[in-house]
Amino acid sequence: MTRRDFIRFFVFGGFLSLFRKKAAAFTKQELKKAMFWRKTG
Amino acid sequence: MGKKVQCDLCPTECVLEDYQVGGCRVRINKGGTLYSLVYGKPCAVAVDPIEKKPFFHFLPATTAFSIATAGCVLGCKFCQNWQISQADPEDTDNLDLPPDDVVRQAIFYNCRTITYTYTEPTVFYEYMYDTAKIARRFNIKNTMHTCGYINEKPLRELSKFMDAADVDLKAFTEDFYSRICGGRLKPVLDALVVLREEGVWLEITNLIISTLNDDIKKIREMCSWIVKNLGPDVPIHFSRFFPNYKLKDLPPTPMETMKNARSAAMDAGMRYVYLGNMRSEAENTYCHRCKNLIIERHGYFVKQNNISNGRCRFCNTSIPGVWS
Ligand code: SF4
Ligand SMILES: [Zn+2]
Repeated sequence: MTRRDFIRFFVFGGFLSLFRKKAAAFTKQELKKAMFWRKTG
Repeated sequence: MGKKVQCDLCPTECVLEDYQVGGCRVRINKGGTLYSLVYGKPCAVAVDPIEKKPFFHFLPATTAFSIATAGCVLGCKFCQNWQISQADPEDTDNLDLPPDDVVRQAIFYNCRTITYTYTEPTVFYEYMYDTAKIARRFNIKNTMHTCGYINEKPLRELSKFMDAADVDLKAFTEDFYSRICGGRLKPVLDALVVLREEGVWLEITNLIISTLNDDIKKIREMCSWIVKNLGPDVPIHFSRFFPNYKLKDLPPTPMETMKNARSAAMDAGMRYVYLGNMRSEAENTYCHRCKNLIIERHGYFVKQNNISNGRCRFCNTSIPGVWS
């Protein structure tokens, strides 16, 4: 992990995350598809 | 037609009709696809001492960024966190905290570890898995406090990113698991063996409840099983029961019972046996070889630590655990 990677994740990522949350507040949220299941009929 | 699904995450293996929610309350079949209802939606977030999980042989005196969502795969009548574990996700106050934000917050609060805890992390598997994967990249360790009620395949997959697990072994009888928890013992024992095989650092917690699982013969049997199948170095935390949730009429576990359990475990060959939810010298760590005090604790706080480079400072014996 370089210093640049860390700053990108921590600082830029933090800002982006704030915007993402703002945007998400106005859109319909998708559910996360689960892992480990199968169709049975 | 064609819209039924079976969830293979935990041994309950719910078969769900369209729009039906699983027994854990947080997985739903929508149109023949299974979804998680709690991804990125924790209802409990806190910075705790790692000793609270409890981990006594894993980075002592560090902090753990701890998260949980609503839901549980079991329904224990003594649950300490029933307000969230036995709640639907729409009835809890949830944050919006995607996996990368969890890691960012853990870094911000200077936590060495992220812990998936309070309720049963199996129910928020996808959230935990994605968070753990990112945390690994940033050298943050992942730990979970789990009931171990999870199928082998998902557990092996998760173990790739999990550094330590504290497993609640609630009793050593199928009867207790079915009557008090609504589950089975066998899958939990299997999960313990899988975690061991996968090299995940393991600690075990056993809550002793008067009249329900305090039979000293059974406790001895359980400890012998642990020594035989997981080895003598797995720390065990016997925890004292206090009346809670649906078991409010039972008394707190007598101190005597706790001490007897500790003696039984040591007689069975376990090297690190702790008593929790009560103050005693049994919350300290003593070297299994020279018997000197190597970690002194007061509740969740470490007062002195005589382990250096994973070894006892007095006799240089390697002490099992993750120390750096
Ligand atoms: S994780 Fe939930 S939905 Fe899946 S089998 Fe277990 S209880 Fe059922
Ligand atoms: Zn020693």
